[in-house]
Amino acid sequence: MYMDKCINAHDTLIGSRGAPVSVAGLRKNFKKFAALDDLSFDVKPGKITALLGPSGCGKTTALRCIAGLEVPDDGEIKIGNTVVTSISKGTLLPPNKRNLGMVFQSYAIWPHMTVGQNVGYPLKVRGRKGSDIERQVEETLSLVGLGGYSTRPAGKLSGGQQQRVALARAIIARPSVILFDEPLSNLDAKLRARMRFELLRLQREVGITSVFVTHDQAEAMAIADELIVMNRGRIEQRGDARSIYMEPASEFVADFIGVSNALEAIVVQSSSEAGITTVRLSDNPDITIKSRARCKLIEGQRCQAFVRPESLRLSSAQTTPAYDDNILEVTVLATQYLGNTIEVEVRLGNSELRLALEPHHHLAQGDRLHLRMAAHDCILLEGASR
Amino acid sequence: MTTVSATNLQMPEERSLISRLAIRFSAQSRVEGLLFALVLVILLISVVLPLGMLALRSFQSEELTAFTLANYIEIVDNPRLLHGIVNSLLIAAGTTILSVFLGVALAWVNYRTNTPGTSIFSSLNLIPFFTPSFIGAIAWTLLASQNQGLLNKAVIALGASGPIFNIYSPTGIIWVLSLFEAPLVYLFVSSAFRRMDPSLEEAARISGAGLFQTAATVTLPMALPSILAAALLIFVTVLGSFEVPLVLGIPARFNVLTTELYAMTSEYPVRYNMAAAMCVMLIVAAGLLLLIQRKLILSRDFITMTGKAYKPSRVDIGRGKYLGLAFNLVFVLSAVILPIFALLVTSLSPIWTGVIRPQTFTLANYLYVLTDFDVMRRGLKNTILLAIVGATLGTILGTISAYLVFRSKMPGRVFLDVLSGISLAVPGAILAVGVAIFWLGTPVYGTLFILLLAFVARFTPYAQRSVASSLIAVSGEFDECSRVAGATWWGTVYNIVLPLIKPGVVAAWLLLFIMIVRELGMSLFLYKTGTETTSVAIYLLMIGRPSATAAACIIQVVIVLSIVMILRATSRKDELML
Ligand SMILES: Nc1ncnc2c1ncn2[C@@H]1O[C@H](COP(=O)(O)OP(=O)(O)OP(=O)(O)O)[C@@H](O)[C@H]1O
Ligand SMILES: [Mg+2]
Repeated sequence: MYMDKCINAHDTLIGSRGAPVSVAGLRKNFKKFAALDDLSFDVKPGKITALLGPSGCGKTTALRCIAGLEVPDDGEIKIGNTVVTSISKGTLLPPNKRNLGMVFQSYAIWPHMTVGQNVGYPLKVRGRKGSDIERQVEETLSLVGLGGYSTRPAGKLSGGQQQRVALARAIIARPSVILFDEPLSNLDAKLRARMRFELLRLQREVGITSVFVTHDQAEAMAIADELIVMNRGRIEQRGDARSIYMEPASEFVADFIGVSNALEAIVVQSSSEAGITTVRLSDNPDITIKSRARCKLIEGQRCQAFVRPESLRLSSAQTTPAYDDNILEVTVLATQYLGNTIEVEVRLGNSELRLALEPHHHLAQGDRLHLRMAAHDCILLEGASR
Repeated sequence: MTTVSATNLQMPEERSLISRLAIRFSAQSRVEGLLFALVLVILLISVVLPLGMLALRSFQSEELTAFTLANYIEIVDNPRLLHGIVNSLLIAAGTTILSVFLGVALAWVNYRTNTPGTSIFSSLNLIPFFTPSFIGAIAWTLLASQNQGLLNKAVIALGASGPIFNIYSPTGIIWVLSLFEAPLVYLFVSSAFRRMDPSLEEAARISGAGLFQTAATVTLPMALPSILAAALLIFVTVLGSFEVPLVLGIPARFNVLTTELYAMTSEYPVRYNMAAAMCVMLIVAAGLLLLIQRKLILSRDFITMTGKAYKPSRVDIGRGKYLGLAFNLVFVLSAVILPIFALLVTSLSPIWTGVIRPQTFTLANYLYVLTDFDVMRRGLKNTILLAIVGATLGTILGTISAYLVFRSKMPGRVFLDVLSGISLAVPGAILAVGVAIFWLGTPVYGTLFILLLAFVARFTPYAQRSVASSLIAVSGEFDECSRVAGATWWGTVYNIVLPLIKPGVVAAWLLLFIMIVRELGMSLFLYKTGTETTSVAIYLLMIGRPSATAAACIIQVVIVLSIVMILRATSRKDELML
């Protein structure tokens, strides 16, 4: 029985292939403040694209422009082959003509309706027959794991249930795109992790193009096929989770995504081969390290070296370094045992570094050890602005 | 880098300013545009033009021949008018002081101490807020007139050598007005108390401050912005109040600005332009004071904007709690029980001589008022008609403008808000003078329509506030979600917005109904034979027929209080805030 329903639901929902979205030259000023500053990106059909960035960087504004809830000052937005917003052409499709689904941060579950009425609303306003609506509501509710909830009043649902209802409402009319505005941020940590998986599963099943706004980088990396990192209304970098984490294109991205150690440095010898560049640390003129440049750097140029805490290793014995390794002498300053890792703070000359080590290490404050840092893990970016 | 982005930023702004404005307008629903225009036109006709007419006429001579400052000069030169100004200020100041004292003390006793019975008194204390103040004044003439007042008879029976109360006096006016304004202070201050984090007081206690030291250094200073805001509001309201000075001041030959205004427009020779000049002066004064009041309210919200309501901690005041109970009792006796008692016994007595004789009680007065006194019969019909139509129109208009101001992105919505707030700042009597002068000489003058227009103009902002408080509490994401889900503008308003704000709309309708039923000031300026309201009928009855008047008052109070009951059952207390 249950299986039947699920398969039925799939039949009706999978049919919709998502539409691509393209955003070009979007600008939006609030008074003189530029919330969106020449924002351009496109979203691949059927995939999840995350807009990621710190609070106030314009993620919600961008999403609302796509939804038609906000009118940009300039720019053009296309959904599928339809131009939905174009300031220069004077086109502005109202939100209800854009065939979208949206999950709001607050979920916006209408408290004066039942769960079923909430979920069925998009069909009702599209003029579907009552019996059709009932059937599809039941199918969609069971798809999000709320089968049988249809007649419940919507006012008294738990956070996770509200989230599911919002999701069901967003997908029921088979929109060409679903927009998510921080849909998980109101849930507690455990539920958030679970809903993350469910969301992913559901999106894979339904295959609707999704734009997902969040300021939580772990969430974005877990869910999205492609990440767009935003800062001050602009795009800093786009790519999949791995490339953004491993190959940050700017100081901002390196700093915003995960935890990084940043070291000011001056180029001593520019890329010889495989992008390996030797730099001298500004705070410790007698220390040079080999690192990997993300762009062409010339000798004497100031730059910054970024290295992730988990790509550093400690050892007590002096080993001969491989060609692209750095072995540096450090002193342990402090350790924190966190169960799955140990966070260690070490002093390297006049700088401090953070490490994340496996939990079996036993370290004491004041230990003098050798730090091992592969050149490949140490990324050089130009422009030491700080 | 920076130069490039700077020029990019400039160019589109200059190039397509007009087309961007055009798209901004096209983004609004056409319905919203039409509604906006509708509200604007109605505001123009009912508020802006009448007030503009006042301003214009105030600079014209009575014959409309020349522009002149003579009217303003005469106000300052005429000793009688100057007296009126001084008297108005006196009454306003006295009432403000007394009602603030009463209101703050009541709020403190009922929300901050362990005085018994506060759950009952916290509602009872609000009753005067809903009942017409001129009925309170009439009731107090029965209680405290020099010759026949029940209280005077009581003190003489207790051994006093003569009457000690005289309600027909400035003190009497201040007393009655204070009883009716104190609940407003009480509402303001108790809501401030409720939003105050009790740990602030606890911290003071732990730091070593005593009970009263804590009240004086923490509780009161934190409530001070609310108290000042309420005080200013009361000062302005009393400055423009008309009914109580009319009932209690005229017999004592004690005139205030509004009663002078009434004399000027109702006694021969009618001096409309002179009246207009006085109105303009009052409007300017009221406007300035209300601006200050707004600033205070904003700063109050800033202080207590923690959002949640706390359960206030109550202080054990020892034996003082019996004092608190006595205080509550005295207030409720003075403001509610004694007046209603006096009206009841008077209305049941065949002829009122100041002596209660239960064996002679009769319903003849009610019968007379309801069947024989045709002004009252007409009045009832007119009032019910005006209240139903006026409350409906006002609620529709108020709902539309609340929606436009708080939900649409209509350019100009702030302007609309300011415009619709004007009539809150203008005392009813003055708006009525404006409306009267504006329609003078047209066929509309002297019809029920002109009363309806004035009521809608005056009371719509209250409906707007009631609806707006519901609207603000409902997240905008509810409607946005509906639009994205595919619903049209109408679909969203009908399916989502209206159902969610229904309590606010219902409360607004009931509130307006009450306000129109109990209205006297504006009606007196605008009624003609045939368009009397119940309040006007009571006023006309007042001279010489105390028993029938009392019966009519009881009828009026019953109508108002039964609507209040419905209102209280359907909405939260603090949504009723003026
Ligand atoms: N209606 C508005 N009026 C004025 N400023 C606004 C408005 N909406 C957004 N802003 C401003 O524009 C900027 C971008 O806002 P936006 O809501 O898009 O940020 P966000 O990236 O979604 O942030 P968050 O993660 O906090 O939700 C912010 O600085 C915000 O203050
Ligand atoms: Mg946001």
